[in-house]
Amino acid sequence: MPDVHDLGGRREHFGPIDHTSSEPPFHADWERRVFGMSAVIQTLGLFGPNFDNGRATIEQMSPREYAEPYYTHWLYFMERMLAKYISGERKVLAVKSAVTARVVRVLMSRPTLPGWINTQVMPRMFGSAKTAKHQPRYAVGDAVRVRAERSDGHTRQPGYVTGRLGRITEHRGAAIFPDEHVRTGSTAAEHLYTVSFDGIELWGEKAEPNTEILLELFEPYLEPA
Amino acid sequence: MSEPDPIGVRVEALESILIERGIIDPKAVDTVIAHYEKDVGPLNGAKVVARAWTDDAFRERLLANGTKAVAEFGFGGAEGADIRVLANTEDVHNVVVCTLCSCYPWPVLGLPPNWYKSEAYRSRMVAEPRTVLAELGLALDESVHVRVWDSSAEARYLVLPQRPAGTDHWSADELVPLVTRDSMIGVAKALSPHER
Repeated sequence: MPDVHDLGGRREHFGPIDHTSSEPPFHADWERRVFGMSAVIQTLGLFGPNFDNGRATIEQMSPREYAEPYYTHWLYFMERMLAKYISGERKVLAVKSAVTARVVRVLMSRPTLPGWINTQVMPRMFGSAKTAKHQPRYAVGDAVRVRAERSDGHTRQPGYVTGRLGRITEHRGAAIFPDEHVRTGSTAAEHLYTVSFDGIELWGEKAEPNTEILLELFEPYLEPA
Repeated sequence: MSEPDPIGVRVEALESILIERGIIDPKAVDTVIAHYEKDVGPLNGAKVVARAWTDDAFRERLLANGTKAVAEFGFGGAEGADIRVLANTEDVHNVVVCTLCSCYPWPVLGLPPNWYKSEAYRSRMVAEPRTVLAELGLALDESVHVRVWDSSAEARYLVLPQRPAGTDHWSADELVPLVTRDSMIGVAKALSPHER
């Protein structure tokens, strides 16, 4: 599976952090255009219902390409999706560009929007939450081990928790399962849990004292421990 | 004449084809850019935090369902479908990272800064959070429990920093300037009155 993006704990990437306390959203005009185009495409779901395919495409970048400025990742994604569309391998949702302009004008041209739009409409447009067809397998407090294997293609199972022992701290509902969504196009949902890991379990004697790492993991990534 | 920027050329070519094929309207692109340059940024989150510091009922709603509570301010949208708020205390410090990409709660913090998306921050924060925080100016006592939240799936995390000492009678409006972007990522505390 690709791992150019899977950076947690990878010591070859350790280095000084070039921190700023504030910075503009864009550093060049091309970044503006790339962000704007991608946001329009995402808002209308033109290349798929969420960003799973976008992430999966970006993960195909070579390490040299991945090290380029951040918004080149999105440029790479759009270039490849467009190529698939032109070759006929992929269909783009047939929405007239005038319609996209109108939707964007309504949703993204004012500082605030009515509460019902932000709680009812936007999460459906931008989120992947969905009801699962089965009951959750785990409950809060359960000990779980992250499976030793990962999906061959796209996955949201980071390398640094793979094979590690954690504890469920919350059931977070269910969402479209990215691994299968990218592999087969299925938008079936899987349960999602917040899982807590002790620093020592992940990093052994290198762990800093009194640290805990928490992340959301999909049910297929977990095994009873 | 200087050489054209190769990235700029690629971007122009892409936009031309998307327009020709009727997939996007360039005016829609302009609208989105202006929205994220003018309307969406960490000031939104600062207003939310200042309200939580001064209104206990709101704080409870915010911790119970971040997306619903920030919608009371009119905020929401992309990367805000499932906003989860993490309250710092004397004993627990929360900090946020995305090791797999760049997940970040746009409606309340705006677009993420470059360092948040950097390979150094993404690789190190889960493995040596205390060292990273100290480098960024936040040295935590060993007795403080550190929780690092890796945004790996649906939730987009916003840290609710502790209210600074010496602000007991301040209004929410007066508190807003103390709430920095960094304090809502968890790599700093909110400013104290003399730092404002």
